[in-house]
This record gives sequence, C-alpha cells and structure tokens, in this order.
Amino acid sequence: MSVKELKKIILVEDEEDIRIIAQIALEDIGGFSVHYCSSGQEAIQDIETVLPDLILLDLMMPMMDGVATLRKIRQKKEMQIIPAIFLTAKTMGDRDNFINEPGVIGVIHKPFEPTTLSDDIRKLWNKHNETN
Amino acid sequence: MKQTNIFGKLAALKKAYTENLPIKISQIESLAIELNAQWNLERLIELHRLVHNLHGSAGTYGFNQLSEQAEELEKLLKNFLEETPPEPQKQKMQELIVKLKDIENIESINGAKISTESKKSALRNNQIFVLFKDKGIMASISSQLKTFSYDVTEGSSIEELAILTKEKWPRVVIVDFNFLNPEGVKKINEIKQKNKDLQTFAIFVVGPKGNFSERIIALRASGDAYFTLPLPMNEILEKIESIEGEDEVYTILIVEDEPDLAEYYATIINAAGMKAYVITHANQIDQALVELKPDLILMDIYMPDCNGLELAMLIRQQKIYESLPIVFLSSENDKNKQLEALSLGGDDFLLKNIEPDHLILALKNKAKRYKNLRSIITKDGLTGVYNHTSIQQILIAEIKRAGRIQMPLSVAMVDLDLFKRINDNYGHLMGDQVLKHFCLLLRKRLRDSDFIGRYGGEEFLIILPNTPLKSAKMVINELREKFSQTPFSSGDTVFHTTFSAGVSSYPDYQTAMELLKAADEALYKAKQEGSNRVC
Repeated sequence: MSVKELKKIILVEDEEDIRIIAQIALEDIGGFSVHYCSSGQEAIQDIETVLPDLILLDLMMPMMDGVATLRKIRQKKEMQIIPAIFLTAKTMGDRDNFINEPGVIGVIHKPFEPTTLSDDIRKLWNKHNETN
Repeated sequence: MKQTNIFGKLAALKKAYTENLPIKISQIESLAIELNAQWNLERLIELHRLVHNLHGSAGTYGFNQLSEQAEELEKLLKNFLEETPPEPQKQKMQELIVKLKDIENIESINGAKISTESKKSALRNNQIFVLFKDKGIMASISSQLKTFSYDVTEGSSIEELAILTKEKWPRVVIVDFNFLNPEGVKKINEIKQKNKDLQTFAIFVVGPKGNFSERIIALRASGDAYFTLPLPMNEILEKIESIEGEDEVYTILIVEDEPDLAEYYATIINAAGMKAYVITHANQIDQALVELKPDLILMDIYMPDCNGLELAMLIRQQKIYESLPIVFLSSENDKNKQLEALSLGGDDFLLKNIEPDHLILALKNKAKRYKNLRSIITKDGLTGVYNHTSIQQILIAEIKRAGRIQMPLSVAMVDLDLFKRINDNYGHLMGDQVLKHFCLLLRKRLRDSDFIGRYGGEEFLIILPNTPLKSAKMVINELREKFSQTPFSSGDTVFHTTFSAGVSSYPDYQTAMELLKAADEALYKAKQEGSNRVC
C-alpha cells in the first residue's frame, strides 16, 4: 500500500520565535513546503488557496485558539479531510478534549526539538495513513 | 539536507533569541508587578500567554532550565485563571519570577545548548519502562534510575506496555520475569513488529532464581540481559549505558574551499549518520581541531591559500594529532603524487569522483578505529573518564579557548570521602564499583561539553567550560547531594558515601597550575570543615 506523500504544510503559530525556528526545522531539515499564518483568521483566509496536505497549528493563540480555528476551517467540506496536528505545551495535559477534534492525528509538545520536528511529524503522518 | 547551512542558521537564530531574552523576561516582570498592584483578569491572561510562549520557545532554543522554570510558573498561572489566588499564592508567583530571572542570567552566560549540539542527546533516548508485579521493587528501581536522569515510566502488565508504547518509545524495558508467559512474549513481539521503523528497545529480564530454565525463557523472549534480585543497580546502569554507546557518532572535518563540493560531501556524510563540519580556509584549522575534536579530516589537496600536503604536515607537528586520520581528496591521477601524499602524513588518497558508498566506507572504519585508539590512550580503563595526563592537556587547551571566546571557565577538584574505608570494609571490587558509579553519575548529569578526568586514585578533576564560579559550585553541590543519596549494596549491607570538592575559576586564576592549586586548596578547606561539602 503506497502512503500518500507529505509535501505541503500550513503552519499556524502566533509566536514569531517559534515560527522562524519551525521554518528551518520544516523547510531546511524536513524538505517540506510550508505556508505560514500568524493567526487563526489568517489561516482561515489562506487555507483554500494553499490546500495543504497537513495543518500544523498552535493550540493556544490569542483571539482565536487552535480548536476554534480548526473548527472554522472544517466548516468547508473540502477541508474536512485534511489531517491536523496540534502544537501544544506539556502543561495542557493529554486528556484535554482537543485531541478528539475531527481529523486531529496527533500532538507535538512544546518546546520541540528543531532537529527532530520533521521526523516526528512524518511518523504521525505515516501512522495515520497506515490505519486508513 | 543542507546540514552545514542549517547549523549556521540555527546558531544565528539562537544568538538573536538570546539577545532578546532579557527583554522578554522584564516584560513578564513588569506585567507581574502591575498585576500585583491591581489584579485583573486581562492582565493575568496576558501574563499567562507571555509565560506560555517563553516555556515553548526557551526549550526549543536550548534554554532547558529556563523552559522548565517557565513551565512551573505557567502551571501556577493557569490555576490562577480558574480562581483568584490568595496572597501566599501571589507571593509564590513573585518568587518564581525572580527564579526565572536568575536562571535566564545563568543560562545566557553558560551559552544554553545550541539545538545542533543537543541533537546528540536527542538521538540518545532516555526513556525506560519498568514493568513489575511488586510495586515496592518497581518504585525502588524507578527512583534509582531517575537519579541518573533517565525518564522512567512504570507499568504493571504487558498489556500496559502496548498502551504506553503508543505514546512513548523506550530504549530499555525492564520486565518482571513473571510477565514472560507465552502470551506476554507474543505481545512484546507484536509491539516490536508494529513499530519496525523505530529503533528496537532492549529487554532486561529480572527473575527470582537465575537458573538455566529461567534464563532460556528470557532469551527466547528476546531478552538482552538477565538479572536476579536483589538488583545490582550498578550493573544494570552500565548495561544501559553500553547499549546507548552502540550509537557512536563520528565527527568528520572537511577542509575544502569549493563550497558546492564541501556541501556535497557534508550531505553524504551526514546522511550516513556521521557529523560533518566544513572549513574553507586552512588557517581555520587550529580552531576547528580544538572546537570540533574531529575523528577524521577529509582534505582537498589543492587549495588556493595552502596546499593540503603542507597542512597535513602542519597538523602532524602537534603530538596529539599524530594519529588523527587524514584522508586526501584530489583529481590527481598520478600514482607518484598520490604516494608522495601518503608518505607525508596522509592515511588514504581518494579521487574526487568517488562513489558515495565508497567514500563512507573509507571514512567510517578509519574514524572508528581512531576513536577507539584515542579512547584507550586518553581514558582511564576502570571508569572511562579521561586519565591524568589527558585531563591536564584538556585543561590547558580549554583555558586557551576560554580566553579566546572571553568566557569564564571553572574547575572542580573532587575527592571521595573516606574512600579507603570502603575498600577496607567492602573490598576493592566494591570500591571499583563505587568509582564507576560515581563517574556514571557525573557523565549523566554534566553536559556534553564538560570534561571529567581521574586525577588520582579517588580524586577527580572536572572542567566546566563557559561556567562562572557561582554556577559551577551550584552544579557540583547538586551532584554532591545526589551522590550522597545513592545507595550501594554489598551483599546484604547497604551503604552510602560522599565526596568533598573545591572549585576555582578562570579568569580569577589565569593558568592551569593556578587553577589547580586554588581548587586543591578549596578542597582541603572542604575536608577540614567536615567533608561532604563544596568550597
């Protein structure tokens, strides 16, 4: 069974320091093509033109958090199949409900290790594709 | 994967982040002061957000302690969001913020680990699962492992192992023999099979009798080691370390002026699991040798400012680099010229159009043999730390480096207390165990950039680069506490032991001799004042 390749990621992250280092981690090390949004609203505007393979978003953002953003995105039918991964601080706890949001295939904890971020994302991606 | 550019980019990012860090911290500080003056929800939410961001970014940029401290503060603030805290809690918040500031100062000076360096520790999986029926035994094993900075997860069945492995992947699983019935073994193999792409974990079996039939069962369950109760923690820890040691990473220094070619070789070498660093000018060689401590040099023979043969001879002039493998790269097809290169100090001669696989083979074995050879020459056989001669040489080199980069350096002279008594009461073998264990603890707790050497029988010298006196004393004192709590078992007896230490710093003292003398005097003072302390 061939696994669909992960090429394009949309990253929704309000903190600039995290965003720049994620850029290196995902583009230079991981070889992905990445589109950046610094807020939930931006992501909602851009997603239809970007049409990524994966949505990577920060859980805690001012004004519109990760869950609300994802729900708004999912309102469009074509956006319902795109898998999503949450970036979240360890303090959020794994039992919180965001993990049950539709299409969420995993969680990456902050602080993350830039040199292994892409590997961790690929692992979640492969796992998700195997079970489908 | 453009590894060479990535390290540069990450380093530049880290520098910028470090420079902005004090501003972030004072933002948090001011907001907290405002909050204390007038408590309102908006300010609290903003403060929580700032601290949350700090927790996330600090860790990613290598400020691990700062990240942990921010995490603690974040948890506290999260609780505040649910209900307004009483005064003592607000006090706690202030305390945590002061701590945050202190840690930021220390970590900034120490040069928090660049994420490129910590890749090595990321490769080293620290997760250990302990599966036992008896909760008491399980707790005892866990706490001892945690002393050595391992992450421990406990479980009480193989089924639980299956659930746990969905979230975390262990390096070692220490399992109760009682769980190795046929279903249990089957389940373990299933778990390994399902996660083929991950590095397989080692299984340590702990059984009651240690007889032949038990051990065969353990072997068939793919057990990598077998231990009987009472658990010899020292042996277990050594075994864990030896498993980790199998993932040795070799460092290759590439001397090549043509950037595309350099990048090409670096990419191949990195892809083969080795670390490649590039210098484009021969005059960078001294710094590269000291900073990177390569296991092999890959060098282009024809370079504009210096020809490779001369450079090789220059390197070989220094005694410590006499056996460092130097592999030449060239388009030179003339056999005579190749032989000349080899006679002048090269170890091998490769053509530039070499197949990547061939290149890797040529390099890997040489680097491995050199690394092993160097280990034998520079390390102490029993404990694996540097021997007396080597640690002194390292000290001299590191002082030079500290002067060059304008950073403080600390030195700790550590002496185990009443060590003779341990040998007398429990035998020399036990004494050796204590020494080994002590060094294991040091290696686990100290950074990759710190150096440990055996200075005398039970005397050790620790070199802490980029560390001011106050931080060094803190670190050594922490180690002193942890060591004093470590139980050693000899037959039925359990005993504890301690050490005393004296610390001195550069630039307070400028030469190796002065530093050693000062640390020694401080150690003497520690012993005079009652031992088990740091002066």
